Parts: sequence; C-alpha cells; structure tokens
Amino acid sequence: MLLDIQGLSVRYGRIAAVRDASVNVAEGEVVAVLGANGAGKSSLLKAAIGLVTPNSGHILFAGSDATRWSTAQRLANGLVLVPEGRRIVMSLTVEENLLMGAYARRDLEAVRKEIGVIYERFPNLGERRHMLASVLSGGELQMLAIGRGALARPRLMMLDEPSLGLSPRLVQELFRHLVEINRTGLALLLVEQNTRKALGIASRAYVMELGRVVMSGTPGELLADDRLEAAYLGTGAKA
Amino acid sequence: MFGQQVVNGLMLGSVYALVAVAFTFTIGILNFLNFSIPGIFMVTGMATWAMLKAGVALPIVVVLGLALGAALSFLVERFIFRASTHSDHYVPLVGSMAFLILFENLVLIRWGSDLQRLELPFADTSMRIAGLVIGIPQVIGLLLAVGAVWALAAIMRRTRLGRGLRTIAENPETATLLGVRVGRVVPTVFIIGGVFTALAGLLFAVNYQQVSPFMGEEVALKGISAMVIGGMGNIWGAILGGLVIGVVETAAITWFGARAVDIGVYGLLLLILFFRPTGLLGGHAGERA
Repeated sequence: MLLDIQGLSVRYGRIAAVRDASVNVAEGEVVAVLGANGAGKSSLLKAAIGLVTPNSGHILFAGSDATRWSTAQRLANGLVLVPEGRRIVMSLTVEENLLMGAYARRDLEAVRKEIGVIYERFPNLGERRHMLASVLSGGELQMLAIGRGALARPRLMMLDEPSLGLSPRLVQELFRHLVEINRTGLALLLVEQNTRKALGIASRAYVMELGRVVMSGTPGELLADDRLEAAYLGTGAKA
Repeated sequence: MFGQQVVNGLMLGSVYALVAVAFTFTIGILNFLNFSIPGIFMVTGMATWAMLKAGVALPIVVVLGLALGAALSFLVERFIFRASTHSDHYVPLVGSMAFLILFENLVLIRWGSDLQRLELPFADTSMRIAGLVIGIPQVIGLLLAVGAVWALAAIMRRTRLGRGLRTIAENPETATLLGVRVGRVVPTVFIIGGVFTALAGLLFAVNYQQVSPFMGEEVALKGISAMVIGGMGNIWGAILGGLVIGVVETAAITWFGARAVDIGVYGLLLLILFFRPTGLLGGHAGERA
C-alpha cells in the first residue's frame, strides 16, 4: 500500500472527529471517501498530511511510519493535500502560487517546464500568470490548486471536496482532469460529497459516518447497497 | 531655507523610516507589534557609543552593531514569540514590552542615565549643493536606509523566502500545507527586523552624536506613527511615513518652535488617519510588503 491509515482517531477537545478509521490507497489507485458534512472526512485528510495530530492510530506512507512526520516531510516523500476551499494565496500572483507548490524543490528548470505544461492545459491561468490570484473564477482557482499540488511531484494527491461550488459543467471538466492526472501514475484520495461523480472515477470507496468508516468496497458493491442509496443517492443528492 | 529644512528632515526621517520598517515588517507577516524594537534601537546606539569610545574602528562597529541587533531580536523570538504561539495576540505584545524595559534597565545599570556624546572625526564633513548644506554621514545614512528597504522589497518580491513569508502573512496554515517550515522561517522575520532596527540605532548615534538609555522611546512613537501614516504592513509606506514625519518635525521646529513639534507630527497623524484610515500607501492585503 502507498498510504495505509490504521485505526486513526482524531479528537478536538471532547469531540471525536475521527474514530478508529482505517483507509488505504495503493500505488496509482483512485480511492473515494464519501459521507455527509461532519462525518470526519476532512479531519482524516488533515491528519494524513500532518495538520492535526491523531490521538491514536498509525499513518504509513510508502512503507514508512509517517505518523510523526512534519507536513514538510510528508510533502518531500510524495504526499500532498489539495485542501477544501482551495486555499489559494490571494496576495500572490497565479505564477507565485504555482511556485509555492514547488517550494521544497530545487530543480527550478523542471519546475518552469511543468508550469508551462499547466499553462498549456489551462490557458486561462497562463494568460493571468502575472495577475493576483484573486482575479480568478472558482473553476480557475480549483485548477490552480490542483496544479499547485501537482508541482510538489506527489505520488499521492489527496483532494478535499474539489467540486464544491463549481457549476455542473466545471465539475465535468474537473473530473476529466482528475482522470488525466491519474493516468500519469498519480494516486488520488478523493473526499467528495458528489457521490456519483466520485464513484465514477474511483476503483474503491469508503463511506464515513460520525467519524467511523461504515462501508467500503468497489463502486459496484456500494451502488448496489441500499444504505448508500438511501443516504447519499436519494433525493437531494447531486448528480 | 525651505530646501534646507527638507534636507534635514529627510535625514532625520530616515532613522524613523528604518524603525517603522522593522515594526511594519513584523506586523505585516506575523501580525505582531514588537515593542522590543525601540529597546534594540537604544542598545545598538549605546553599544555604538561604547565601542567607538573604546577605540573600535567604525566599520567593525557597524558590523558588530548589526549583529547585535539581529541577535537581540532572535532572543525575543525565542523567549517571547515562540513561547506564546498558541496564546492570545496580546501576550507576545506585552512580553516584548517587558524586553524593552529589561534592555533599558540593563543599560542603565551598566552606563547610567546620562546623555553620552560621541566623538567622530568625520562628524562635520559636509558638502554644499545649490546652496544647501548636506552632511555626508547623513547622505550615506539616507542612501543606506533606502537601499536596505529596496533590498528587502526585492527579497519579498522575487525570492522563494519572500513568497514563503507572504504566504505566512496571508495564512500560516496554508504555508505549512505547502511545505514551508513556519517555525524555521519566523526567526528570519525577527532577524531582518533586528538588522533594520540596529541600522537605525547606528545611524542615529553617528548622525546626532548623542545617545541615552531612553533614546528608544521617542523613536518608538515616531516609528509606529510612520508605519501607520504609510499604511500598516507596507514597507514602502513605512519609508514614506518616516520621511514625512522627519520633514514635518524639522519644519515645525523652524517655523513654530520646539514646543510645536509634537503637535505638528501627531496632528498630521490624526489628519491622515481621518482622511485615509488605511494610511498613505495602505490598501488591501494584496499590496502589502
């Protein structure tokens, strides 16, 4: 396993956000974590990247125990988080944001080349490269966040609600792009509320409820399960 | 006459400007009003006097003075800022005030409360340009101040460190997420602030040839005012604010007498705050540092 989260618990004071959750991702795989707001999905990712310290459990990455690594160490080893709300630095230009993605890298020539590839793929970013990121639209910001994440040269990219706030057409484009970057060999751990879309590209998925992993399996197995149907695909679920 | 006042004011203002840059840089990136800055300014001034009196050559005094400022500022980071990372904003502020008072009293114990005079061989060297008398040490001081700010602005604009610092300024957690080791970068902010403060202390000592354990207090008020006039967090604003205060101060002395100085300076501060609450160059966060 590339990422192996074992029996992870995260508490904020007296509130248990994640309870004994085990989630794993193999090299090159796309795995989805589904669940309602407050199910503990974001806390799981924050613990995985080292922004919060778990109260118990282990995080193994590429065979090493990464539980006590700093965020910078996890990044250097190929684990990256594209956070919820994208967290683009609005007082930096588009290009400076991309350069921040490569903060730990020293091979600046390769970085420049990769930034050029991102501009080719998303011409809107290229045209605005020297403008402050605050001029970008929601879709452009999300593509910038993914491009910034990719510049860290990760082996596994974790994405927290990347489709949030995007129009159906942009969600379509986003998922097409995620499939594209997965084809380059990059594994994805995708936290999503857009259940159908996420199951459309994932090879496996976990369902979280109140901090626990309550179901897991292939999209086919989960879609056949009445509980998932009732909770996430019934009325009100986004298509 | 007017031209001469502007020249004198710019020289005085360059000292305020450097102190204001130290204040505004720390605030802009760490959201921390560091009251130890005037203490470091004073210690460097006093150390300059003591070293020159002991016969140390000026270039060595400058290097040691800057190193002293950086070291003291680093000490403040270790003891106050780092320790209170998870406390309320006011905790490091009050802690840095404690450092100011500590510095003042340590200097009082060592050298007493007297005003000390510096003897400098080149103090009276000046040149005349178009009828204006311009002191050469002062010109060097002004050039150094502008040059140091230009270098800092270039670091902030163009380097990896600068991008990391601007990311910390906007959101420390985002910076961490991108691989910035915030705990290791923050001391850099203090060291840069300490060097600017020490440069101001050196310039003051050399230009005005007198130092005292209390020289930090007035400069603190003027430096903070310069920062606010220029726009919080904006280093070019701090330079502009410092120079404006310097010119207003010398002009007020000439035309209205010494008692009108503070009315002129702080009246201007209030006027600017009334009409431009964000300061002369202050705007949204995107224009910062």
